[in-house]
Amino acid sequence: MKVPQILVVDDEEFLRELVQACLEDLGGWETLAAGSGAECLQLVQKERFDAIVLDVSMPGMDGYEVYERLQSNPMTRSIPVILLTAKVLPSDRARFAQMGVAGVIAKPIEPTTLTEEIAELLGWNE
Amino acid sequence: DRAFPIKNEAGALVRIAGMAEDITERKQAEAVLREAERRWRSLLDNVQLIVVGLDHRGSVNYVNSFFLSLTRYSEQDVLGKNWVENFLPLSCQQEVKTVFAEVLAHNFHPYYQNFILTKSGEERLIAWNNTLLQDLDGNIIGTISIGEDITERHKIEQIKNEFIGIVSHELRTPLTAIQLSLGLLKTGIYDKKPDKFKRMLEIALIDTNRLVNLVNDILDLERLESGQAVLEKTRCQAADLMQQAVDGVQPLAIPQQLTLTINPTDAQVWAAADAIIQTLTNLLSNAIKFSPAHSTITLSAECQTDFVLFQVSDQGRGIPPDKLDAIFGRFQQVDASDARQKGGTGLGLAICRSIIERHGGQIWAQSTLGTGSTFFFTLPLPPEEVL
Repeated sequence: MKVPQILVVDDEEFLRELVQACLEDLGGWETLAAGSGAECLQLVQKERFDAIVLDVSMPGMDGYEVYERLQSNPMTRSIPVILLTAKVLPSDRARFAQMGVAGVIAKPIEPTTLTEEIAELLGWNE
Repeated sequence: DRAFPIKNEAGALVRIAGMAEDITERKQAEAVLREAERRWRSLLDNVQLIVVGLDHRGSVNYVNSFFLSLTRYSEQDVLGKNWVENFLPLSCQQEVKTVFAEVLAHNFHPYYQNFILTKSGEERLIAWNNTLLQDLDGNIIGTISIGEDITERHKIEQIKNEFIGIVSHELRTPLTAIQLSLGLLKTGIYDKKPDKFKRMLEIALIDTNRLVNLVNDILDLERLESGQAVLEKTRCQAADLMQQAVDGVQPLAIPQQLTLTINPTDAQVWAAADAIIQTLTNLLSNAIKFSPAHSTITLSAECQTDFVLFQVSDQGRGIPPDKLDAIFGRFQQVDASDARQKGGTGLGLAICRSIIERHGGQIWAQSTLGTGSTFFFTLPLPPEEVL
């Protein structure tokens, strides 16, 4: 079976690097990274992804807008999106609940928990 | 009519008879009542709370002086008018009508908050304490409500909540990097990959420092804005402050081979030296972060009529005009990712502004995109030198 490929979108350089390290070295998945919403939307046109791990607070186009654009495009609508976010206030949670994403994971998080939760949310558990 | 004449047979008045009643107690009781009335009246007229009486139809039958001074209405503007329809914003009229009906019917809502409208149309948020009024037979005759104007407190709470939201995000971001990098090391997967191992430690360390700076800046700013930080002002040589700040940041300018130039003045200022050095250091560090290699940063000061004007100029990328004021707010970097890339906390300029304002000075910026920025601030002269 082909190894799943995940797109990691975060404006924080360190976080991109670390989330990729978790997903590749602990999860055993393949990853690509985008540093902005715009870069994410370009990459999904070129590559096929099995899931997107998306930050919410990003300068320029934030995670909400990226998700809406992914949803409005028939080519990308079916890619599961997991929000990985430091936004944890009740008002943020209410908004996430309405979005219909595959899951929300709060920062900070342990590497093993991160990969386990992603596998769980995407139904990739053996 | 309690005195009457007594006359003889001829009808001539011989004496006057009368009855006397001791009314001392009645007079005393009346005086006590008048005094009690005067005290209540005085309380209602002087208390710094709104008091509004409504009859059972919701018409105003009493307002106190504080209500009138807060809203700028006269008594004639208010008495007899329907409270909800005339003095509440349209947006909450329906809700408050329901609340009023429930107060009358069930004595619900002893505490309630809603906006009222002043004569000029300004909205004020009032926290009410409502009491149902009944006559001696137990019939409901209306309500009396005592209200506190909490508009300013509400605004401060909103700002505080917003700040907590941002701080929570700003703290979680470096914490995430630290937890992920150390967590990855703990799994042992990099035990035989020294480059990866070292990289994880490096990231953990950089973000630990970022967290330390952030916590320090948050505390600095809170101490400044709450007035807890004591700024002991003394007579200072402006040139000394400038030199100390430049000496402190000089090492940061070396990698990019930047030139730091000082145009000093012999003027003195009335200032807390450490706080002003911190301000100059913040402004110079910002200039260094945003300067292209081999460019020049100039720090100058000149004495004006009753203050000294300081300037920090760089030849960096510049600041968009619509951001020139906002950058002095908390977490208001021109580009949100600047904090990460440039190592700032997003609070430096807010701290500078707070320090300068507590000196009675002003701080502002001018900029041309692509050419450079200049930050200005003013400090007062020592007291006896003010003309």
